[in-house]
Amino acid sequence: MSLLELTHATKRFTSGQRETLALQDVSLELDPGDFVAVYGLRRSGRTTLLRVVAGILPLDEGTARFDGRDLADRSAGALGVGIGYCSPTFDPAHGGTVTDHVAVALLARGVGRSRACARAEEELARAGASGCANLDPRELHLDELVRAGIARALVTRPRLLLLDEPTNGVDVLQRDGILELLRAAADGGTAVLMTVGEPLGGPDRVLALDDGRLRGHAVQEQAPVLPLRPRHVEPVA
Amino acid sequence: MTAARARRKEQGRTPVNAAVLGLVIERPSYGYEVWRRFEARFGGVIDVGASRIYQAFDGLLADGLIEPAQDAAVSSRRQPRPCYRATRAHRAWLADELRGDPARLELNRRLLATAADDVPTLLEVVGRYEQACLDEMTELRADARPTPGSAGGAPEAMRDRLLTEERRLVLEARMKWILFARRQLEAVGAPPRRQPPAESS
Repeated sequence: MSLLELTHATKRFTSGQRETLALQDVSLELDPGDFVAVYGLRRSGRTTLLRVVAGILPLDEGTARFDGRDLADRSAGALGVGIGYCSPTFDPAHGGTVTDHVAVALLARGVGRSRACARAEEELARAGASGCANLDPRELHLDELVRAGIARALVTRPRLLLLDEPTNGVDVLQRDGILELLRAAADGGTAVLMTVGEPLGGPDRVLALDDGRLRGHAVQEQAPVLPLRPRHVEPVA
Repeated sequence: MTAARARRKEQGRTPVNAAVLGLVIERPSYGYEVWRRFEARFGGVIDVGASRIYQAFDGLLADGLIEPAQDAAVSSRRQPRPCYRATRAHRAWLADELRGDPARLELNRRLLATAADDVPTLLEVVGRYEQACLDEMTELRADARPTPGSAGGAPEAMRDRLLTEERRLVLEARMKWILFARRQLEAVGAPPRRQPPAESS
């Protein structure tokens, strides 16, 4: 059993009399430590795919299972616990500084403020954004927003990290650093699934999504084998 | 350019010639020294004897890409060893190499033309081409990473980054072409839309 199993997933959107197939019979598997990119242009279905995997959007056909649990079961509540969704947008209501924003998910889980802030600062340092800790998110450059967003998504130690075009608009000289950060997360045992609108180096597998159809090695064809590189999985807090 | 000259230029574009030119661009050298550096740099990937290096010198001299370096000539007690350096023409040659191989493109065009009427076969070809491009994207990783132990601004790391970015952008163009090709082929191969029956008069 894989960590994430999407099986024959189909998702439709209806607007008036027009029906759009955002995902067509998509199957996808991810294991811990996998780093997978889904390449697609606009309106290819890439954001829908992430939202389905996050459990935000229900499927019309097929199943989406995370850690053996059906994501259609709302009581499972995987997003924010086992699944981290990275977004570069920061709601001012969550705090004044970047540290506040990164800590908010821990505060919501009952972690004390000083411990939550300390953990947030550790995660920001790991993401290469410690210099942003005391800044207002509105002061950050795009690459810093992405790094802070990754820190915010990883602070709860999710087993699956989802990112929608993390390098979109990021300066080319900053792009590789963000990919290295995601590679480090995967090497640490977190499964990473990101969408990209341009070919990028870094992932173990790259899939192509077009018109809601996924192509490439979406499902592991070979029998599971022990990874060549040792992976250290940190315990979930 | 005459046909004979163009053919000779094509023949001169061998990996060995390119590698030898690269080593001479790196620093003016004589045959044995180039061979030693060739073995250290490309050994196991391209294995050649010393005589092949001299053949490459001849080809590169004929194409005007290298010239004898009189001021840097190396002489031994027995006989002088001709030392070569790159001419300014090598810059145009390098740019030409990076631009791609027109002969290969023409070959691909003719190969595709052989199956122009067989849409399912062409769709399969496009699918295989797409998978090759997706696999190549995963290979970009090793090149994009800085060389261990070298600073980010080291010449080797800089060269890797430049070449990786060039490959990445080529892949981006190929992926867009694949999308275009598949949609074109699917439009041609799709069953025609059923027309409403004509009303009988």
